[in-house]
Amino acid sequence: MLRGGRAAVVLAAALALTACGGGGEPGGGEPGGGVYRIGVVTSSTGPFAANHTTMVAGAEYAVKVLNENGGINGNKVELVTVDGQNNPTSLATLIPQLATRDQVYAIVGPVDSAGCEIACATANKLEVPIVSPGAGRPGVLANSRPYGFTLAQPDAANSTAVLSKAIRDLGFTTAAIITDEANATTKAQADLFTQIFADTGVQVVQRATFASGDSSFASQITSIAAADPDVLALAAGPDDAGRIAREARSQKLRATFLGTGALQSGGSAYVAAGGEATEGTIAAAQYDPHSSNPVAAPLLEKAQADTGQADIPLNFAYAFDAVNMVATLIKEKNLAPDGTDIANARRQIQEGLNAMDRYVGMADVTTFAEDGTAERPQLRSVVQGGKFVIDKSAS
Amino acid sequence: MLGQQLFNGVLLGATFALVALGFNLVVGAMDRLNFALGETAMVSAVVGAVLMETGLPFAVAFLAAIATGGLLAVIVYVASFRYVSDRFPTASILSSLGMGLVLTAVVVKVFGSDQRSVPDVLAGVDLDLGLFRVSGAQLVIIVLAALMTVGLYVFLDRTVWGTAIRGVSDDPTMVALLGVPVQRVILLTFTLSGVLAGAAGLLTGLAYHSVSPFDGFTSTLTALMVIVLGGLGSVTGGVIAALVIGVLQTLTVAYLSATLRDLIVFVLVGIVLLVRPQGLFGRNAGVLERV
Amino acid sequence: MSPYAEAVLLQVGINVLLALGYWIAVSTGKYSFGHAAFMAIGAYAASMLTLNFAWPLPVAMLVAAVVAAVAGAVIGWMALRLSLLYLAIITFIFGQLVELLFAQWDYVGGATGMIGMTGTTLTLVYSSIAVVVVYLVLLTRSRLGLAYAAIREDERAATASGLRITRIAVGAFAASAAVTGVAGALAAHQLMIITPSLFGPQQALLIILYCVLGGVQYFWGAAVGAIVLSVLPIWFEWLNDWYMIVYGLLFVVLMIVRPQGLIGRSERSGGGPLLRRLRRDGAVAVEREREPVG
Repeated sequence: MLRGGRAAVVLAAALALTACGGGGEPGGGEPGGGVYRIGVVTSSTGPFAANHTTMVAGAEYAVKVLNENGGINGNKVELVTVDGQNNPTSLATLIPQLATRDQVYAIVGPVDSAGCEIACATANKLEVPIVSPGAGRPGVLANSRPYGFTLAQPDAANSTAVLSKAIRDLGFTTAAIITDEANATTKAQADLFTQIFADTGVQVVQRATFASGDSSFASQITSIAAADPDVLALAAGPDDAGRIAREARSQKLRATFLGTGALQSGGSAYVAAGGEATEGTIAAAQYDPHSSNPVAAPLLEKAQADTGQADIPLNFAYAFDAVNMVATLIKEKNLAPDGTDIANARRQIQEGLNAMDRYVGMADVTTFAEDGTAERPQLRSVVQGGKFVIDKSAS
Repeated sequence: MLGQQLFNGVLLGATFALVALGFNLVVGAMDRLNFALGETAMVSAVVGAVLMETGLPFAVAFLAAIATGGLLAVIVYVASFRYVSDRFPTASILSSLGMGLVLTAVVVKVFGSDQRSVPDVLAGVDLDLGLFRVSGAQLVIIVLAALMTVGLYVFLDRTVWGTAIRGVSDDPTMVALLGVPVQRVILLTFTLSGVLAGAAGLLTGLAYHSVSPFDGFTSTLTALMVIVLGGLGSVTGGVIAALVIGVLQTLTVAYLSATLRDLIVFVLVGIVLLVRPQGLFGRNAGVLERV
Repeated sequence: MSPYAEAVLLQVGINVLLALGYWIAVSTGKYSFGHAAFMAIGAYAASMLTLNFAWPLPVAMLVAAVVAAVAGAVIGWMALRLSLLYLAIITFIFGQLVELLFAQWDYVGGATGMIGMTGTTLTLVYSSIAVVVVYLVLLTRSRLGLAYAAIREDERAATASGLRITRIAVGAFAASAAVTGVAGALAAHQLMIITPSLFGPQQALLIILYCVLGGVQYFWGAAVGAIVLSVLPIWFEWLNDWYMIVYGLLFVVLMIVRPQGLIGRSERSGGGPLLRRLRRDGAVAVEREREPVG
């Protein structure tokens, strides 16, 4: 058993190193001022890496602005970023790491629903408030209440009224629906479209399905083109939707494209993937990068100037707001820095988020509903000149 | 509409065929699987797409893509095959999977994780052939895929180096004794497989209108299904199997459901494997014993 | 113990269990590329019982083991007839079928999966490991362990020497699948959420990597592989977007330096890697002998 013994030593050493690794004492702030740590859960690889990068930038920008203005009661705010590497199971250890080792007051992220399901449920179990800027899949927080929140309003609640009105305004009579069948979010979108078309008296003349991943869409579009609908509803992720648009136009399909809020909240992905073919696409929206809200407008303008971006992306604004919501609550409830009485502080932040009514920030007005999802503005957007523009006349 | 759907299927099959041929060449020469070939195709497509975005003509982008493919295949050969012991059958599989991870991660690091749009070629062209219509991009795909396949046939059949490749794949011991520089032939085989994968990558990008950094493994998988169906090492079998799978997938999506698309291929391949383990067009059972 | 240390120990323990389970199948020389499917079967079976019928987790784990073992037996029966590549493909297809089945099955939540399972404790995980380790120690010292090795070395010779290899291989795969199913049940009740995509090709590959990285010769090699691969992401988190690049290169370098894995003898017959390479280059691959992989 000599070899076995050696293996056991390796095992024990590895475990010891990891379990104790980096057990830095909480609240090691610089002298004179305390620190409030906020966790950020990102993913530097996988299909949502770009969204996460934007989210981290928004959170970092929020912290920079906060600290420039004296922090919270003279104490600095600090982000602790952990990287899930697009592996949902690793979140099951990263969240406890933030909760225990880093003593964070709250957690921001991840933006994707699959990541949030595990991260938010774990955080909820450990009683750490967690705000996902983007998770919008129906039921994503089912196992994460009362500590889990998402800033995104799910499609069904956000898009129904907007899209029904758009269909009536434009007088569509026939429609086709293309659905990603391998994805719970897009299947829910397809049900939503079916309901909307039924309510508005639009006849669904063709349905096509695909499974996310490799697909040329040629086959689906050929079937749809044969039915020649007025409108093609895209129950698809933004990247896939863009490719569908390209294929549709290359097969001379004339239909107008219709998308839920998820299409617009994907940022530039849809237009980048679809190019010119996406012009004229109508989608519901819950975020206006050029909002005229008196609180949001100056924040957006300052962010544009500070970051050099012409349009502040959705995930940037949502992460900015998430950090500021937490900071506001810490200030309001006068919570002590450096992880002092952290369990109580977390509970108070949770209660504060749940009680929050009409928080106004960079992304306009947000209220959390009973189930932790956000109630957001309902807007209509249209692709014009290579980007989603909020159609202010329509809302 | 059936005519159009069949054409869609053939087009899809044509792109599958190129990666599968590349895969097959390496199986023939070394009895080993290069699991980084899909990623090689992906990187080539990204390089091609980036060049096309800067306004360079498609021909230049295509040449750059196949050059990238060839170069990467050589790098993969050196890293995952040349110095990896063939006594452990899993070693080069793991190593090339590792190279695949590296290639994907590098593309994500340099170009980001978003899908990259591949510009159209011959956008104005739209041929109506009665039974089906052919767009400019489709024309380019089908012509180039056919040219490369025929070119490969001619190369393997008519040239000295081609004969050497076939020789190494048939009996490496014998050709080595006859004085064929086996290592150099294997290097050439890898280069060729990379060139085919590079072409396949960009042409698939044209067909799909985009390329994603995470496409690599899927391409490898499809290629694997194709060569198993067609018979390991069989060039003709590979081409036919690719077309069969392309048409089958297209018709499944059009008339059944997209959910069944991969399933139907898996079931077909599974049945073929259990009933006729050498594949539809397998040359001999010898390769099977070794892989 | 802090929740963080507990979470790490749970994750490491579950991964060790996965590696040990996989090792049982590999010790007969058969590589499965669909072991995540057994994990899924165990995870879903146990979750159905604990969530919908309020069974206690330990009992649900036993059922998970039995259900997974039945599936494993079928795969083991096919495994005998197939070479390395073809077995890899068949098991991969099996994995895809299982994933698809769960994604289409509304009773278990379809693509959204199941939510709300709890109850995985350190005691449960590490006593499961203890049971498996005892079994493996007994196995490697028994005639059955020798039979596994005989099949791995030369299937035909094993048959010729009177071993009933069908029964042995089916048994090995069933045992392997049972352990993997238990690991799946534990993982489900730790993660609280399962979706079909959690048990896709990526997870299948990870299980293989644990085993091959550690070395397939001894079962503790597989365990070491699982531990190393579980803590790597934690140790090297600071690499951020370099992580995947370093991770991939690690395999490339390792396969050149130690193709047999971290634990294990370097070669069966004489000479270090360098000596052998010199010899091979000298003979220009005339002597392309290779390990029989059956």
